[in-house]
Formats: sequence, structure tokens, C-alpha cells
Amino acid sequence: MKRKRVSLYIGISIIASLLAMMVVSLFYTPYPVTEMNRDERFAPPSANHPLGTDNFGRDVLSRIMKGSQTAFFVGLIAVSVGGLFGVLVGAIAGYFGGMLDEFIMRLMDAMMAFPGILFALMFVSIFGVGIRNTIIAIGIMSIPSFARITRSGFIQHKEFEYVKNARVKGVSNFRIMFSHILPNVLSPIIVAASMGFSSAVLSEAALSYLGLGVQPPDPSWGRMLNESQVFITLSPWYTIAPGIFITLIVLGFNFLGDGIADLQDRQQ
Amino acid sequence: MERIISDRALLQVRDLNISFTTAKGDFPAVRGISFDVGRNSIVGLVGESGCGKSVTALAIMRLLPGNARLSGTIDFSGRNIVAMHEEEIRKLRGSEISMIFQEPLTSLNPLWKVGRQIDENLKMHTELKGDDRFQSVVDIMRDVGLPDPERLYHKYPHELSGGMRQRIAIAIAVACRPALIIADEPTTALDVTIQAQILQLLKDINREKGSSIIFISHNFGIIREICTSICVMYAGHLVEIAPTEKLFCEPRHPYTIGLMKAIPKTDSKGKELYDIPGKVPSITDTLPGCPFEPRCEYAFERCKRELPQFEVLGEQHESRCFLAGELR
Repeated sequence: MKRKRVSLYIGISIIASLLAMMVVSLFYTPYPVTEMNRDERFAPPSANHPLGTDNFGRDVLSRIMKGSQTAFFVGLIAVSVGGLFGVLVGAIAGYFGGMLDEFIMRLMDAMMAFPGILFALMFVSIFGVGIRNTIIAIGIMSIPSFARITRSGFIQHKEFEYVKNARVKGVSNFRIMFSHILPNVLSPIIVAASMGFSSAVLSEAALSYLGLGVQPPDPSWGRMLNESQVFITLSPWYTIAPGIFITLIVLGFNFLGDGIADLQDRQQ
Repeated sequence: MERIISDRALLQVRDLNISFTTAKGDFPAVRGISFDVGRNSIVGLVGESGCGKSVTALAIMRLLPGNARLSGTIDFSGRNIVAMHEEEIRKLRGSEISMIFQEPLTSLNPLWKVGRQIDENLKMHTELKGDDRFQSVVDIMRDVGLPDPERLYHKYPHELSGGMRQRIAIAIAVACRPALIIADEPTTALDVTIQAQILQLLKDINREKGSSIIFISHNFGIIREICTSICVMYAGHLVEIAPTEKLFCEPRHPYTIGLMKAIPKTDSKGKELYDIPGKVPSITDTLPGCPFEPRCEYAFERCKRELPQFEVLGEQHESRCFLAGELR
């Protein structure tokens, strides 16, 4: 019993600390993010620069903090986009069933079969490099998982008597779907959102690493990883810092999702 | 002409056939049933499980699953429900016809406060707003015998007892003062004392609000207590229709007679309980003759070949048996 909650607590603490860091960075970073200092290039961690400096002498900690904004922003928007459309499509497929369901779900299967990064690469190269297109691409990639989870919940719940009772009251299909059933199937969707958040952050890091996401001079963890790899032997801490933070945020959201899922299992 | 219309029954079901299309073929669930529900009456639909009672109820509500095929007419105060548009029937549901289900816990939305679930019905079908609507909900809750309705309004279904939940379900059903309420085994999931209270409540609603009720049950004791007339169903057929007392005093169909014999009575204490031999034919069996023939102790050659027609035996008393006139 007790053991199961551990992942929830770990997840919450990691995400809460990163979130706090992100909020602080909105008002304060130790150094201006783009301020270069030729004299302090590749400085190792010290009291002045806790995570050292990069090849332009910029403070890595400040850039990491600023980069968390990108990570959360991308995660939030991508999950919202994917969640909104995924839930909508999944709800329609699950509730109405039949040919419509078949059509929608085969479409989702096709999307899932397509490698995510490849799709994002294609999308970004067609519509242009930039953070907006990156977010849209990541959002679209996450639609199928939301759709599948929502669909299965709807298929199960539409047979329940409270739904029949709502129909007997003369409630419209739209209202039954989103006012009656959706709140009842929300918990697995929340878990999916948490997991989706971590994979969105990871995808953003990957795309930025490939130079297709966030453009310089805006800091992004994936981008920092890309910039630092050339200097990995010269100043390893510059590479390690963004790596650790990417790992942390992904781990945090995965723990959070697992924790919530465990909590639901115990309730049932 | 005027008089005929005003005398017309509230609900007239005529030659209703319902079958389900599956990968294995078409299966008839209801075969050509016809009955009336008069204004202000309580009509019982009785029969064993799987005889088509609930399917009939769902057909009246037009809530049959997509693979159901339906023919015949269901006339509700002059409008044919079978031919209605989806939007038309949706407006009818909850306001003019409503339904009460068997299991009060599962028929309420677990995440909605019970007050809001009653409120939704008024929101859908009336112009009431804000405080007026809240007041109406509270009044309805008081009408169905819920104590302290202002407090109960904000409770969730799991916080209430079974009897209270069923009262909430009834409150939802009567909120818009429907002309017809379909009660699908509303007391089966409740214990006996609560059963009696709920039956009394339904009777009161029928008397005071003038709603007609279709009461579906397999329990003859309950049916006798509450209904004004009874339709006995067997394997998708209607086999006997009669006013309640008439049916109990003079059952004229072997199936009804068998059911009556199977009711435990105080003077049969210690004796073995009667049961009708055999079992209900499966929905996949197609018999050319009377569906009850294989289990009927009076059956003779003709029953195997031919489906008997209804024989009128008196005021509103009909039986679908060749021997209806002779059975005693």
C-alpha cells in the first residue's frame, strides 16, 4: 500500500521543483541569458557559475532555467493540442461506434505506425523550422494515444445505466458525451496527459538537438545538448547539465503518471 | 369524432415486431404485440426473463440498439413514436415519457450531485432558471418523500441508501410531470420494506399527478398490488391481457395459470413448489405453432401447427389460446 505511493511523491516533487525553477526564471536568472563573456568561456562549476559556462561564456544555470520555460511551454501546448483533438476524436469513435469508429481508428493506427520523429521532421521541413511548428507536430503525434484511451473509456461507459438514464431524460448526444461520460473516464486521460507531457518534452529536445526546434539564441535543453557536444571532452559539465534536466523532467512526469495510475488501481 | 379522440388510450401499441440483426441472422425478440395504456392507468408487463418486456419498453423510448429492426406502430397521444425524428423523440423523452431503471446506483451518474441530476431534466425541458429551478428541484424531492431536500441536493449517489437513490431516480422521472412513466423492475434491487414504500410512491404519483405507468416485473405479487391491468408475455408474444382482478380470478391462458400456481402461498407450506416444466424457448428457435405448446399440459395436435389468435373473453380480457373459453 505505502510503497505504491512512492512514485507519486517522487513525481510530484521533481515536477514541483522544476516548475518552481521555471516560475523563478520568469522574473530572475542569475545572469542575463544571452550575455556573453569572453573571459569566462568553458568555466567549470564554481560559486559564481554553479553549472559552469558555455563556449560563449554564458551562464549555463541561467540558460537551463530559461530552457525550462521552453520545455514546459512545449509540453503544455503539445499535450493540450493532442489531448483536445485526441479526446474529441476518441469520444466520437467510442460513442457512436460502427463505420465511423472503424474509419477514425484505422486513421489513428496509421498515424501511430508512422515514426513520430520522422513525422515531425517532415512537418517541420514542409512548414518551416520554428517552435510553433515543432509544437504542432508534437501535438499531432500525440493525438492517437489520447484517442485510443478515450475511445476505450467511452465504449465501456456508454453501456452503463447512467448513460441510458441520461438518454431517457432527453439529453442530447453531445451533452451525454462531454458532460456525463467524459468526467467519468477522465482519470486514464490524465495519466496519458502526464506521460504525453514527458514524451513531448523529449521530442522537443530531440528536434532541437537536430536543430529543427527552438532557434538560437533562445535556450532549449535539446539545443544546448547539440551545441555542447563538440566540446564534450573540453568541458563535460556543459553537456551533462542539460542532459540531467531532460532526464529529470521526463522521469518526473513518468513517475507522476505511474503514481496517478496506481492511485486509480487502488480505488478500484 | 371529438369524443373518440379524447377517449383514445394514451399509448397504443399495434402489431409491434422487434428483431435483432446479428452476424448469425435475424432473431425476433418481440412478435406482433398490441396493447393499450389508458390515461391514469398502471399497466403491468409480466413474464419470465427474456420474454421481451424490457425490449418493448426500450422500443417505446426509441432506445433500441442500432441492430434492432422494428415494425408496427407505437401511438403516443396521436403521434407515432416509431416514425418520429430523432430530435422530436429526444424532446419527448424525459418530458412526456420517462423511465425508471432497476438498479438505482448504476442508473445515477456517480460524479454528479443528485440534485443536479434532477435539475438537468428541468433544464432540458422547461424554461425555469436559477433559483426557481432550484426551488422546483427541492419541491420535487420533497414530493417523492426525500427528507431535508436542501441538504440532499448536494449529496453524491454513493452517499445515499438504496431506497433514497431509487427515490432520486423517481424524482428524475417525474420532474417534468410526464404523461407516461415506464418502470422497468424498479423494486427488484430493493429490500422488501423499501419495495413497499416505493410501490406506494408510484401509486401516489399515478393518483395525484395523473401519470400512467407501465410497470415491468416478473413478480406477480407486486404486479397485483399496483397494476390496473396486466399483459402477460411469453417468448416475445403477448399471451393474455386482462384487468388485474380478472386475471387473478380467471386466468385463461395455460401460461398464466402456470405462473399463478408457481406463486408461493401460505397454505402450500411444506409442499413442493410448483414450477412450469421445461424452459423458455431460445430466441433462435422458431416454432410454427403456439410458443408455449412444448410446456403446456393442455396442448393438443393443433397447437403444434398453428398459432392461436386472440380470443375475446369479456371486457378487456383476451387470451391467445385455442382453449381459452374452456379453461377453468
